Amino acid sequence: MAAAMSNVEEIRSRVILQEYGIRNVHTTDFPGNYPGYDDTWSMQTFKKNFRVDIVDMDDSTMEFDMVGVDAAIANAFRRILLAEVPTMAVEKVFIYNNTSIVQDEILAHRLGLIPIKADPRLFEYRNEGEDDEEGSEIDTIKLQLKVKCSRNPRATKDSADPRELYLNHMVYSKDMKWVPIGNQADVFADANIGPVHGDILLAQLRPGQELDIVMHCVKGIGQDHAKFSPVATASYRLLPEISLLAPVEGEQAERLRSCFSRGVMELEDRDGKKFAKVVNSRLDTCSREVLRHEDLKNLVKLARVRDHFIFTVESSGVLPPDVLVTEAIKVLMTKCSRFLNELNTSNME
Amino acid sequence: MLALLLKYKPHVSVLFSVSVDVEFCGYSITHPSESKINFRIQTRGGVPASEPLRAGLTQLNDVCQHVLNTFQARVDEFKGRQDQPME
Repeated sequence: MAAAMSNVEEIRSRVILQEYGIRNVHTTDFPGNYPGYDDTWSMQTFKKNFRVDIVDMDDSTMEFDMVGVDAAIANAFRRILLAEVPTMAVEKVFIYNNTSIVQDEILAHRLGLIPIKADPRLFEYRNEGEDDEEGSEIDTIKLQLKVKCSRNPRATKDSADPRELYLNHMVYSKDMKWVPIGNQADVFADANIGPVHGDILLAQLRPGQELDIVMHCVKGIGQDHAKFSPVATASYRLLPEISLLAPVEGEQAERLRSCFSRGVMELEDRDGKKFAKVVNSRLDTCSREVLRHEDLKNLVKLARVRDHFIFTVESSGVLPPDVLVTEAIKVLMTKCSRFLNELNTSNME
Repeated sequence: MLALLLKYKPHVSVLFSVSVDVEFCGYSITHPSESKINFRIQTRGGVPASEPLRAGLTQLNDVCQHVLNTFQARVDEFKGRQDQPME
């Protein structure tokens, strides 16, 4: 329970959560900083200490642990997931007819935010330039939305329910139909291109109102506009570490257990008395509630392991989350090689 | 001494400073709206400053490659484990 760690080890590897602040936040293991420690970077030590553990994964969310990297690299992956992994999204909206209550620009904004199920790796970026209207088949997806609301002739006379009175009065994202350009019909024959979710309400109509809209989707990154971000969100937290500094029993143990998230601490029976025991500190949300109680705050030590990152990646549906993470890592590698190339070519001059 | 102007953001100055020859390594943003950074490396001992930069970038590339390989291997392993109870 109380892992006796030398002070130096603790400064090097743990972030301590205290009542009025947080200690040891920054990485300090630079070469030369600690006498007796060889901190020069070595790929071998990195490979030895590095590991990835997948905790949970399904089509839309994944939770995995990355251990042994520096915070800067973990943060770089997180930022790239948010802002630099490309997706397809509606960019140009050609409104031929909009007699609905929703204003043109509001409707266009909503259409842009809808996630489009199309693998962005199969498309190119579009060159913004002279050809404003035409998009070619390798960089544009064309979608059409054509809905007209009319009165339902078969509705009963006294009904007040719009679902009975009107036909097509709710415009959903499933009404957005893909219009293949060029050879897209053959290339993407089995991939049904369209919005990821069909039940997003875009507008409401009443009889006589209609929408006739053509949309062009292009490839972009979240840095340009948040609609291109492929993740619902991607975040990480450090692994919490809770250690008891002294045995806690009885009523105090009960109160101590209630200070943490459920499942973190349990009471075990020893000699007829209940003692508190840390079972799973990973589940804790680190609210530091225990530090609010005078008699409990000196019994525990709250810390976080500085190089153990628990990532949670939620995809917006375009690509599965594991593909998103691999794409993010590839983006970082592309940047490195690009700088290396520039460095090499500029040195020749 | 080498002062550079790099375009685009996420970067890792930590990896560069782990070489013993580097005396100073840091960056600053020219202006928040511009995606450029001023990156400065100062070496001691007559080592040309582009060396730690090149070494750092190569190391970062290797680190990413290793992360990618490990991650993909673990994902395949996880998916394999998931399919097994189904059968």
